[in-house]
Amino acid sequence: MSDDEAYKAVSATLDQERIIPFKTDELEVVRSAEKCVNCGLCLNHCPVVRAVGVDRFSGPRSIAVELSRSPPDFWSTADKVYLCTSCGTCREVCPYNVDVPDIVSMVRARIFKQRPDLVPSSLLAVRETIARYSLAFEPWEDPNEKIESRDARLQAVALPFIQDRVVRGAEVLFYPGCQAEERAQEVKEAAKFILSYFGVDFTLLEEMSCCGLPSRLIGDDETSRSLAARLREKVSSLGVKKIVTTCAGCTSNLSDMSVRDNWGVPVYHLIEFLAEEVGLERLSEAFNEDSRAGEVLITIHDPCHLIRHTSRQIADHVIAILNLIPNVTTVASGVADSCCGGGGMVGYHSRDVADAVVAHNIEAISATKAKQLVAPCPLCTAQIERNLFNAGSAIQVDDLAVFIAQRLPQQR
Amino acid sequence: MDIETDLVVIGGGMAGLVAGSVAAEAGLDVVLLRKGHGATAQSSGAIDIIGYVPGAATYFMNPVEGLHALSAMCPFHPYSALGRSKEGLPTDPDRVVSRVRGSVQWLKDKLSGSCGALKGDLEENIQAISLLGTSKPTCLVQETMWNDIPPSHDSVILFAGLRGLPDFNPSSAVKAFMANRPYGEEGPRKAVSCVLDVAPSGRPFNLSQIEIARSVDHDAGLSALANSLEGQVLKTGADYVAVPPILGVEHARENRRQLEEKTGAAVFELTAFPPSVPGLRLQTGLETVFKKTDGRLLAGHEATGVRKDGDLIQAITARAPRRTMEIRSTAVVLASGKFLGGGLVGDERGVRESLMGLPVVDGDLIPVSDSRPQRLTNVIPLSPEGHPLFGVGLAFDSSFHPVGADGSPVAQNLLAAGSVLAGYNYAVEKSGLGVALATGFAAGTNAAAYVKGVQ
Repeated sequence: MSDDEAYKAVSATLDQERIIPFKTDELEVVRSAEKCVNCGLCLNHCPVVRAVGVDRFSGPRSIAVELSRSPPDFWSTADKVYLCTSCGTCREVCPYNVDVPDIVSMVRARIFKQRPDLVPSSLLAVRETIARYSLAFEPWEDPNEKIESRDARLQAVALPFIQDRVVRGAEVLFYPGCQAEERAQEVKEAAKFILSYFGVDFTLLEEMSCCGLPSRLIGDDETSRSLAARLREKVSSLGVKKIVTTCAGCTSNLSDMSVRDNWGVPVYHLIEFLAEEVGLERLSEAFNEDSRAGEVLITIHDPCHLIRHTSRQIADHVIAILNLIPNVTTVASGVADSCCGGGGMVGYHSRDVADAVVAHNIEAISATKAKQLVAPCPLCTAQIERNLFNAGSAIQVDDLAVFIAQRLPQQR
Repeated sequence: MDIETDLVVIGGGMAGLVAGSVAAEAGLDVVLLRKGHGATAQSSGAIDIIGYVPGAATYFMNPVEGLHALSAMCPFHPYSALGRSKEGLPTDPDRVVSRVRGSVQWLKDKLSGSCGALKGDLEENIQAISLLGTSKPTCLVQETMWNDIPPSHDSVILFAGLRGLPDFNPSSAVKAFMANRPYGEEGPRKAVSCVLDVAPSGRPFNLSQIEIARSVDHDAGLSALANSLEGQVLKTGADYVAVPPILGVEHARENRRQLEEKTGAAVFELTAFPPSVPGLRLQTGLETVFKKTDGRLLAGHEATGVRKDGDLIQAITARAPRRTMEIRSTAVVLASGKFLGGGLVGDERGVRESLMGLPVVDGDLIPVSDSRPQRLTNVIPLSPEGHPLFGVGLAFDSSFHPVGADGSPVAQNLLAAGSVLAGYNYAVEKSGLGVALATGFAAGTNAAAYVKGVQ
């Protein structure tokens, strides 16, 4: 038997043996799991452990040294591994930077393939939506209703509508992400307004499709990869030089995809784009030109996908930009960088856990005198807004893109 | 986005955070890069200054005595370097003591009033009791860990465990505590144990210290602990209560005060293994000190490269999970730690400094770059000599510039502090956080002087 034949014969048995070989781009994650020294330092910091204790969620330490090694049956793993919010707090404090969020995705991918019966059913429902529409949320049945909803939201935040445009060869692709496309439409509109205010040559996608992060978190690696590949094709056919998004999850995921699959196009969060490409000087001039908004005391929430999965520098950009806006004072809540519980698809199947995580934030945010909370992520915004509302708080919650757009002069 | 600053500090443990804070207080713009938590966060939260000289079986009654002995016996020790003038040897022991005292006082002032506030001074090495009932000499402990056990023979000490917390077995701790009391030493003659029923989430099993500590920070958790403890104190007549370090992450001092008020006994925390709550309080406390000086802490950022031009470092490359940036800086403090912190790496090829490949030496300044780590271990795992491996690191001059084989600084604007330095074996000396504090303070001061000198 030649080497080639032997290789084929062995590969043919993998399915039967329930072995899923590691892909080349997964090897780094596997090596990272091997680095764990089981010290347990992460347990002092994990927001899910803080919220529900090590009995319900055994924590990042256990994911790295135990749950990652429990194949092929996974029955002892599944009830824990779906409770990770993928916030990356553990990776940031770990002496060896063990990549627990990606280890979790890999374990979920193997459960998805071998024991789909153990995948929470609500995640399978999301998977169906993504498979059908290539979007993480079911799209509007009636396009006119989507427009009506958009206009109502624009009116509520007092922003003008900027025409959608699809321009081949534009400098920048503005990618709103599923949440701002289908749900928080005011975020997409605010970003379009900001980009056109600063004269950025931007385009939208002809047809919006998901970046693949939710599929990755569900464990549907195949769909995740095909969505990323499809988006890449769209990006290259548009010929853009940069991608700008308002979604924290899309920022980190697209940055990752862009490097992993050699897109050759850098990815920015809108905040980064404003601070680094537009520049604080131009921002400052714009904010001072016609300041119509009144005085407000705000507090900030920093999304994990920006500060822990991309770079902490973005949190500094947020403060730098807010400092330029007249009449805006920021007050620290002390929990700005604490996970809101909205990540990792946990809220879809274990709402109690997601809300137990955010309870820590809600308590500290409510204790400030802030009238408003801003976050550069529509997902965090929704999670915190809902929980503040349920707690009876009067604090208004807005995506940072909307907050910034409202403080730019409305006419040029 | 690239950054420009006066000082980059690499490493966010005791040495790095102290160096950064001191430099920022002196008016510098400071960016601190922290890859992850290191040995400071893993510590028991107690700060050793100097417990033993290498090879000694008995500990120093006080650090002043220890620093004097060290200055005479170990000329290459980082503490000894504090006592040298610019010209080098000899070491002035009084200068060593005064500089260590200065940094200790600075830290105590900075942490005063915080949850991790420190107690103790250089005049005495205290015996901190551990979860095992054993004890070790240390200098500063957090206020909630302090026990004022007076010389009374008829007092009673109660070791209180918590049901469902597997880390602490109070009855075996009592046995070890009594067995380890030196004959004739004063202090409690009766030690008893109990197990408290405090289930923060209704489950009396599979609990961790951190979740108990967080629950004690809330009223319900604190009163559950107080009620349960009150009964046991009444039953045993305890004057002192030793608990695992779970008195709180944010309000430990206030919680302790309330417990003492309710039970009438003196309550203190034992020292614990990593990851301990006091270690977390120390790390958080130091980070708060740094942030208050307007220092910029970039967590999750690893220094991966250095751009050097002539005898000056121009810039450090930093890598975040999905971004890379260059930080141009006038000076650099390397406080990247040893093997846990990642400042040194040991493998089959030898021991290396991980960022710049600087030469690594042992405690006697013998190069060990080509020695496998196994060659630097002692055949006896636990001996007063310890393992030479834990004394390796960078050679340095009296200003804490890392130096090359010829004894001259690697770069004029590069300083080093903490466990990346050679010449002290923290494991046997009980000097780890103390050296990190004193050298961090010195490196931060020197960096500030350098930057002001060239500006």
